[in-house]
Amino acid sequence: MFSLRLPTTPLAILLLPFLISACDIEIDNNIPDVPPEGQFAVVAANQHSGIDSVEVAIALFDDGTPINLVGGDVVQASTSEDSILLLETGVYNGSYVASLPNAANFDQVDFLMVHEPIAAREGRWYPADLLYIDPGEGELVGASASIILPPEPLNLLTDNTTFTSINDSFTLSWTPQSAGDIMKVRSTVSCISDDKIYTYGTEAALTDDADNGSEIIGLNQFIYDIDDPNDPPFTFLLGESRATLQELINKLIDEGIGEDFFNSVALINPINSNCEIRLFLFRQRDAAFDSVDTNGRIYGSRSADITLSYIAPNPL
Amino acid sequence: MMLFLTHKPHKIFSTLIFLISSGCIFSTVANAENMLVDANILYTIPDAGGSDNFHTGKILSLNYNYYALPWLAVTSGLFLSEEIADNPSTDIVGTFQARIETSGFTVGLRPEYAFSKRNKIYGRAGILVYKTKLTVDEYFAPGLISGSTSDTANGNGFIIALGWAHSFTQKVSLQIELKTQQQLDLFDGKTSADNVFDISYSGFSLGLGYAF
Repeated sequence: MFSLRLPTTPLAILLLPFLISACDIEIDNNIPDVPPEGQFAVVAANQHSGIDSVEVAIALFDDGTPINLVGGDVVQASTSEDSILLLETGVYNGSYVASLPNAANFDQVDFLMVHEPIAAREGRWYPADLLYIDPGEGELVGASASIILPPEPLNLLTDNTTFTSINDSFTLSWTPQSAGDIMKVRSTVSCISDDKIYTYGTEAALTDDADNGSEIIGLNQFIYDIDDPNDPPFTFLLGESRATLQELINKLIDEGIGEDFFNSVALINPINSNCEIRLFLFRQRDAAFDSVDTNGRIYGSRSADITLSYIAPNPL
Repeated sequence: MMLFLTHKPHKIFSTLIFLISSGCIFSTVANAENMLVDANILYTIPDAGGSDNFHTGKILSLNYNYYALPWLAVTSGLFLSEEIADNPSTDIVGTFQARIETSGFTVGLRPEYAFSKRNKIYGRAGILVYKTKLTVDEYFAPGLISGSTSDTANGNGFIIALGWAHSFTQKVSLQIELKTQQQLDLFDGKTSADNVFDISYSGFSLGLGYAF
């Protein structure tokens, strides 16, 4: 079904450059785990607690290379009440994001590739409804998928919120569900030392990802020592989770975050800095493309967050 | 006026020359002391108020000034721009580049103040009628149709300028102006209200005046 129309000329350098942190951890500007051959789609939707919109993101690949949509072909995301075109480019090559209004908390989000030559040009400074060339719809038009968002993780709590050692641990608890959804713990970390700021994102390695209502998590899933020759036990935030979290944080923080939030240079060592950890718990549910021929990842999630503090024992 | 607005650029130049010639003849007959013809080239970066990012372009203007008072002239003129290109941009649809070309005429007043025998400052303010052509080139990807499309807007606006004139002789002077030309409501009636826009041509101009 995904027989793609392939632009071979890069349309723009949209995304973040490589990050090489002090411990040589590299974050590519392409979504990881994309197969090197064949067509591949990544579709994600997340609604955060207290936010009346769903952050939606999509990325398309062919033979491992991101594909930019052209000619007025765009992805439309919709609930039964609202719809929106994903016109904004995301953090990754060939990815597109949008905030779909969902004040009524509908669970189903539908995606459809449409051809909208005028609406897709809405950001242009001149009258694009008067001056446009329509090359016709591409082969992807009509492709569709649906996501069912799982329930929001309620009653998110920790037994401690302030820590002074990366060897500390805490218990994260929430109200469990029995639908078989998986749980993900991700974070944004902001460390300050000597007027320098270092920001990054992590995806914690959990004992299990079951929706059982509690998880014991070490602080070393968020704070690390740059000078430690071993890689930290967590994963730096990657992939569509990074893209959607970037959009979510922009929603949650009035002034938003810059594109380099998850890509900043490690000028200070987190273990010796005072850090704010914004922990996000995601309840995630896989979905399926409408066509069995479509290869990719598609899932929906709902999330809630809690803020923790790390006070360095020996701040520099 | 409409005849002018519907002419090709080379015909507009012919019209300008004709009008200036006519003005010279008229001025010679009417009052040999109270006329000034000036020609100026405005160096400007058009600003359409959005994400446009135009290159620097030139607008030629020719003005006929009749001094109703020693310090105040009634001025009328014609202007004609070269084609000025916007920087190429890329969005989810493709890569596009706009080009703009404008012409029209102005009517206004030109007060001035001589602060020495050879030097004076002056202002110029008035209304204008424009005809502006906007062309958009679009490119999508190999294998897809690309091309150009254009349309023309007619409307009005205003012009404001502040200048310094230095007389080389009794008849010939150099003019340097800071000028802005505002064209209002381009494509009003042709497009949705949200897409109607104004465009300004601000910059400095160099010119020569000939008094007779």
